[in-house]
Amino acid sequence: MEPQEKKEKFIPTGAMAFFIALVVLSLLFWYGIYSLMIERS
Amino acid sequence: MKIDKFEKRVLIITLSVIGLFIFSLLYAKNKYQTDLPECLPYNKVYTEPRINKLDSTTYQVFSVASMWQFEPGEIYVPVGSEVDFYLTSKDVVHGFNIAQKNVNMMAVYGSINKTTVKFDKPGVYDIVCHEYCGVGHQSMRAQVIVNYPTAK
Amino acid sequence: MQVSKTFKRIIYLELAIPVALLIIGIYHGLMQTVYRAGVLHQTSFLKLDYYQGLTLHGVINALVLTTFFAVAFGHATMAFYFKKEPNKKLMWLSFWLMLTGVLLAAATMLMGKASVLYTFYPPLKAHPLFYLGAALLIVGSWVPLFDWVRMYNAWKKENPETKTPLAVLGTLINFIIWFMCTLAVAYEVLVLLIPWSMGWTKTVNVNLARTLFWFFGHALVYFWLLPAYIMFYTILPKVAGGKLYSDLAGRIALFLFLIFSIPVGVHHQYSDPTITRGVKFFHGLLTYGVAIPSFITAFTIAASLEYAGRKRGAKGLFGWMGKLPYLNKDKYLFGYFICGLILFVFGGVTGIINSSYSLNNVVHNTAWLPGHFHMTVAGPVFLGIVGMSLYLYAGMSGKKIFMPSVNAIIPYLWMIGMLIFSFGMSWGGLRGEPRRTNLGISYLNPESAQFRPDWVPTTTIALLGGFIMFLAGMLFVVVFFGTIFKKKTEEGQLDIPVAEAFHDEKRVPLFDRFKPWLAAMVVIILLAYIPALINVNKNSGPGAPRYNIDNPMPVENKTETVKP
Repeated sequence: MEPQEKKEKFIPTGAMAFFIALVVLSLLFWYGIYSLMIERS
Repeated sequence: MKIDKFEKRVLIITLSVIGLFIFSLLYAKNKYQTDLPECLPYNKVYTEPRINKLDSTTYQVFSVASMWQFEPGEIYVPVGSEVDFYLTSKDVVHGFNIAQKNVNMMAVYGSINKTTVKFDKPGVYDIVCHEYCGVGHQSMRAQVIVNYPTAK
Repeated sequence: MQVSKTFKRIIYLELAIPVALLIIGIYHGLMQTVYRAGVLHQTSFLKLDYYQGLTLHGVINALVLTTFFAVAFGHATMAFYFKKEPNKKLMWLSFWLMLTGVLLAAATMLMGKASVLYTFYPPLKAHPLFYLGAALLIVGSWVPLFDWVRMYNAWKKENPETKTPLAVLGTLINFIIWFMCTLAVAYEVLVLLIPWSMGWTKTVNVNLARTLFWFFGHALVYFWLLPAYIMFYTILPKVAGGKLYSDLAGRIALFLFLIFSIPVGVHHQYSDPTITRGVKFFHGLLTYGVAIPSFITAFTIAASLEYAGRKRGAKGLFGWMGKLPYLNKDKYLFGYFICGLILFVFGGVTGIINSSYSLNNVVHNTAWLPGHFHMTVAGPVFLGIVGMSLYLYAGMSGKKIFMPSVNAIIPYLWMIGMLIFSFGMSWGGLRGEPRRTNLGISYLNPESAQFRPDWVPTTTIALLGGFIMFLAGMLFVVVFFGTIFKKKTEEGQLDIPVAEAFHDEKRVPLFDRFKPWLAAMVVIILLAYIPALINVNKNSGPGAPRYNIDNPMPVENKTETVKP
């Protein structure tokens, strides 16, 4: 069991990048259906 | 209370995306009249199936869903018509879906649903029942036939 | 933690009975894809009718499996964190009520007298014992909440300044949501449907029944999801070899679920009559609110996994994704969790689309809908349930896993099958393919006037996915029962991995107290549902008489003798 450091350095840059990718995917899917809706209106 | 700065950024991004979606929906509603079905109070005048031609390009269809058909089953309108669909059910819950035209309504006993469609392109449009309504559900389908006024 | 024989017996029953029922539940999933692809052009196969099978599939997989597991996992969580077992009499009471309910419902479904699907919308009528069975299952699941609250209050008295453990908070919040939302469906079933199905009342207001059902129905999916979220926040980081990036984020997410899970139900009724666009839009906005805690969770879990990956030496922006125990036989829970999370990416995104007001016109009741919800309830929820069931059983019984290498790949096989299945369903849905329909008779029958050749590729893809999932599901049943039949190799223990928090966050009283949040929950529910119920009352006409599934004429109104 390693000793807990006083200030453990960890910046979640990868998680942030993943989150941005998730948002981009959401936008792609959402606007895909949105444009389908407009096309059919 | 200390909230992690990355979690804060995540919250801001999420709220912005939600704001974007709300704006886009309102924009489409305004520009293209995309909206959910219209709510009408019940009146038994809507329970008689029929088609009313108001003028050469304006129609009213009073659709009654039942086990296992839509009445009227075939609706002929000319290209460029605007059609008001009024919908109710004579028995169980049915669906009413014209996929190519964003028409998506539930037919419920004792209630009236309404939507308006503009048929700009000729063709045969299926009206599909998409809510389970008993053993004949998969055979329940009507059609809107949209053709040029000179053709019959 | 050492646990008593009684505790073990009850948990084993609550875990194993639904897994056994999964044999029927998953078989009927496969059969749907077979009929829908037009492989069969018939109304039934091996004496089970399509819609009967569809009802069994929904009830077993989405109501029985999920409820039994939530109760069992709740008992295990509360016992483990408080180091005290729940009251045994109440545990048995809960179990027997739920089991009796399941037996009643199962009997009526298998006899073909309840082919009304798991939503049982009137005025399609089921046998009264079906509704009674559903009510007993629900009431049985209420019992544990009261005992757990007693346990929590006792613990709080001894530990007034200690943060409530996140897993305990999640369990209590989950069951509070469940209790609140099931009040509506209990009313629908006991007051509206049972007397009507018995012929004592002549008609039922269908719109009211639907509105009450969906008051329950959306919160139901959070009842399914929250146990998986508890696993993602409190177990996954440990199994992955990391730490939970922010414990506070988990608490905030849970309290947001508490206030937003219920007042959004009308987004399932966007196509319904009697409810105004204004109320529908308001529920749509609230639904965006309930999406927020899921986005918070996505980031927080990713950060926790990134920490685990970097601890193993990963470099670069995405290198951490490669350094996780995907196929480690001893850490098989990681596989079950990560496959669920991957599916949930697509399940969550498609869910946001469905709730986006007018976008719903494109997808409602098409095959897109089951495409969406299989990537949620049959994604993280299902995989979390079965993975954790195996883990809890093996640990408490002191047995080794049967076929551990096979067990390690089951979630991946399931995930691949699901991605294929949902792709086919989503694409088909966008082409107008309806859900809840035996397509093989008409739309996928080349001899029929309704034949739709453009639905052939989409239903075939769904069939392929369905077959792969069936395989994975059956392998799991074999692993689970194979483990049961193994001999004990060590002393059994109740042991749940507990993730450490990365930030040593101080207790924040606001996110460790129920009263303000319960008050907010009630206020928002009233704001969301009073207008909806007023709408329904104002715009509804006459109520509907009873209809059997095979007859367009309503059932004559004479009192039905109730035969089991």
